Amino acid sequence: MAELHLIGQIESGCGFSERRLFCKWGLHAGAGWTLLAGAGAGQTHLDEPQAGEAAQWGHPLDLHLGTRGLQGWPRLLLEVWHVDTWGRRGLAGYGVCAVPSAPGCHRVTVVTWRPRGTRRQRLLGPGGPELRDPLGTATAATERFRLRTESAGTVRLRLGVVARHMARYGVAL
Amino acid sequence: MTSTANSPLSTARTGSPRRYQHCPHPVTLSPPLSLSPAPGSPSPAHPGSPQGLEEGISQITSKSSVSPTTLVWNFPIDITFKSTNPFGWPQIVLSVYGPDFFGHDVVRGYGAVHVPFVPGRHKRTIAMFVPESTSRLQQLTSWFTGRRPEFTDPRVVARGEGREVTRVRSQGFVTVTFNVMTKDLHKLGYDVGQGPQGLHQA
Amino acid sequence: MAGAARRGGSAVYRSRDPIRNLRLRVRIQRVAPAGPLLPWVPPLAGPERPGRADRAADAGAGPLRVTAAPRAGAQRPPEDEAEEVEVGWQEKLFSQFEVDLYLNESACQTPLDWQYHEEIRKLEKAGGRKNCRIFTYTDHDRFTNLEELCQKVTDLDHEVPSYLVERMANVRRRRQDRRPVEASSLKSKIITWEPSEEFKKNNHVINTPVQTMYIMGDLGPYGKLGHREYENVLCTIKVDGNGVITVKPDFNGTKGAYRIELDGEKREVWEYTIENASAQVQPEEEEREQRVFRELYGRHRDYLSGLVGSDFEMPLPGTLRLLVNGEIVSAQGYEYDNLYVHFFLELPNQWSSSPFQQLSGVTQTCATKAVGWDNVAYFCYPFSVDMFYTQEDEDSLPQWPVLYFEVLSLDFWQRYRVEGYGSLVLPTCPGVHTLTIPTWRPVGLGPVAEMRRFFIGGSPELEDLTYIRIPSTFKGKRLSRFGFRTETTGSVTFRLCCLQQSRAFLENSALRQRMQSVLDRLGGFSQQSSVYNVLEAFQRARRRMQEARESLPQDLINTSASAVPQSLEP
Repeated sequence: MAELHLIGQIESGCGFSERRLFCKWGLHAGAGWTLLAGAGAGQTHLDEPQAGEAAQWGHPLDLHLGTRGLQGWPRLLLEVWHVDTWGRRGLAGYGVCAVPSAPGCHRVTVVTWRPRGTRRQRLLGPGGPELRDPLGTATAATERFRLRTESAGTVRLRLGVVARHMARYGVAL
Repeated sequence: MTSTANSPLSTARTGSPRRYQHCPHPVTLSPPLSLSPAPGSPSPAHPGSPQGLEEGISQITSKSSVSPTTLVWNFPIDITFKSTNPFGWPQIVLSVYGPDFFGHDVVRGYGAVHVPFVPGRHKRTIAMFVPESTSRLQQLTSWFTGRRPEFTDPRVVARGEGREVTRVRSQGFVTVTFNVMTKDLHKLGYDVGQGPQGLHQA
Repeated sequence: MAGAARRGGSAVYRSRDPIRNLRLRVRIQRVAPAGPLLPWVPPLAGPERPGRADRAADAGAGPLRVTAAPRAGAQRPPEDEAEEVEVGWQEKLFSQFEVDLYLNESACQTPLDWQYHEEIRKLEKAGGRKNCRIFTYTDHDRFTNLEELCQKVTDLDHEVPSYLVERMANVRRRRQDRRPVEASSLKSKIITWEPSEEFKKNNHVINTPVQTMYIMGDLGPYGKLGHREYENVLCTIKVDGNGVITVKPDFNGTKGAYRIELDGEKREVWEYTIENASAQVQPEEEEREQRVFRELYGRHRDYLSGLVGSDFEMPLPGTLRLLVNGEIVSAQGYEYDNLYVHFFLELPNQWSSSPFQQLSGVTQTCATKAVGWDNVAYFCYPFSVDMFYTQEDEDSLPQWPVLYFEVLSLDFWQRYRVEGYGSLVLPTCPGVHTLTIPTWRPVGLGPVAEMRRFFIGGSPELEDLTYIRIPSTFKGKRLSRFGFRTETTGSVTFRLCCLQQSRAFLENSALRQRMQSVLDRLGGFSQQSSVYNVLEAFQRARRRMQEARESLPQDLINTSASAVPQSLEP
């Protein structure tokens, strides 16, 4: 068995159409991976930035995974949502990030996109259409060509990866 | 494996620079409950048993004419942790307090960051945020009376659970510099990659 | 005098053992009063005193025993000048003042006072207290060290303690105030919406509960003990719930004794030392503890591997597995909007992949947005490719797989245009790589092609995408693209996490191999396969032998077994 530790933070999100944002995150991996410790999904707080343009979350991530193989390397699915002044929620963007395979500390900028609605929806807001199956469409990527999307903002993550016993099985990271 | 962090806690950038205002900012640092094993999971033998001081309160500092937007504490931190498992890696939790316009002592920001595990020198900029109430009226009254919402236990910012219900306002950043040394990580089979200076870890 | 240590610095210790095991030994001795005509007395010796050779040579004496310190010309009895006491944690030793006070029943008001009264009466019956000048104030006593409060840190004449100092002094760091932090209560009351002044006083400073103990010395003149003005703090010990012990000043150790100079007409000088007299842990106990920890750790490790499984998927011997978790991040700098990327991976000879492996893909159509000067389309398209390389011929260098891609735009009128072609050789080193590949598109001669592209859509396209690098049909030595006209367009960013796995890597330590190229590491393949073949042959031979042995007649085997000496059987 080899182990992987993911220690880091979902730092901030910027470049979205709204400034009041929160982020839902989830870790997804193949069948051979087991989450040994830590929460596999969560949601950050809702932030309205005053210093700068980016919504600051600083949400800590601490996960311990064990695996029997390299297939299905874990991925983080991020959904950024915004809340307007009247408290209505709307989707701001989807993003996927593969957990970096090299051990060490990485600063990852995940770009996000969101499904493009009709012009009327875009005018009225907030948000637009949402995916029926975010996990399948965003992470699996086999059905992506059906989508029409538009670019949204970016999410900055600081991900630290610690690997254990990978060299024992001849894996070079 | 053990990991030691020494750091001068250095600077803060506030969102709205106000010249000559007396802005005392004591900072309390406390590692969160992630030092102890999470409830419900079988814990290995000694989880982190630290050496050195794990809490501290800095001096009161103010902005000056030479640095109108930055506050410097230079607060030293020297602590050693010991554990058998990287899960629950220590975090540093900062709380910044200061007087508002009316002189009430209010909280200026909470923030947390993981201590880096790669040996070497690291600089981290932490965003600081304060909880905010949803209603405008409550916000206005708390601004006048100086009783702004605070976290009951500042250590909640080092945890991920329970944060989805909170609304916050981020205002300012704090910079922390870490010098980290590790021992026996490789002996236990952990690979943490190379540091920024390419230090070969023990 | 030279050599005495400065008081003031506190030391922080940590211990996980119960604090009641803490014991301290305090020795105090009066030194000569600071006057010009009195005889010099050698100062109090600590456990080890390097650098005192000059003074000791003058006096003609080695380190002193503490209790016996005769002084020539002294008028005071020697017992009063020195005292040694061993104190446990929160052990109450009474001062003369307290004895006088609590013996008097009218002075007792609180239950604590009555308790002291009883204890003092018992002590008096038993023959008086053992300590004389050294006494303690425990956590229950209402003693505050004013010196700490008024401590000055700068050389300002009128240094006023700030509100933070007052707060830290006033905060009630008692165990009863500590709220237990549980997950359930956290969820309901994460935020205090209107913090009271009390809450702010406690929370804005460090409020970990702390137990304090003061070791005091009554330094009054002989016969005049029991006056409060002669009480001095010798040592302050603070213990908090996390096992942090703060001792101020620190244990003497190799330092000299601490000095206290009293104000007053006599200006007496006292010296004292503090030592840690706690029982040390026995090596057997420590070893037992270590063994328990190791066992616990081993059991936890077994539990984890039980959850996951102890095997690991390995590639076949003699192959290299290359796993690429890639992502098409974005495309920027293109002419038209609504871009999508179509890509495929070309595997050269000696490379293979499973039949279910998808080697090509199409992203979604993405509308661009302006970031800086460029129009950027964020795809965030993840893909994962698992490939195997088998080295047949050791002399040839492996060719690495190539990713070919094309960027196209699809507009509102369903016209599509080619925006660019590009290719990317997968990185040979494992790790995380972010690559930005510039692209080009073919242009035809004359303005007609461009006008057609603008109005109707459609543009010159490549029939065979491998033309981007070396066409698959090319066999010659010199590749010429003369006459092919292209135009530079935008660029596409990829993020690739490459992992490599092979049995050949098992032989070498991972750290050193980071610097070596993959080719060098693969050099062990043929050796590996020959070793593997030998092992296989050995296993086969062994199996044959076992089968043959089973088919032998039983009596032959029994005879050989009975030849073994049976002296052990009764």
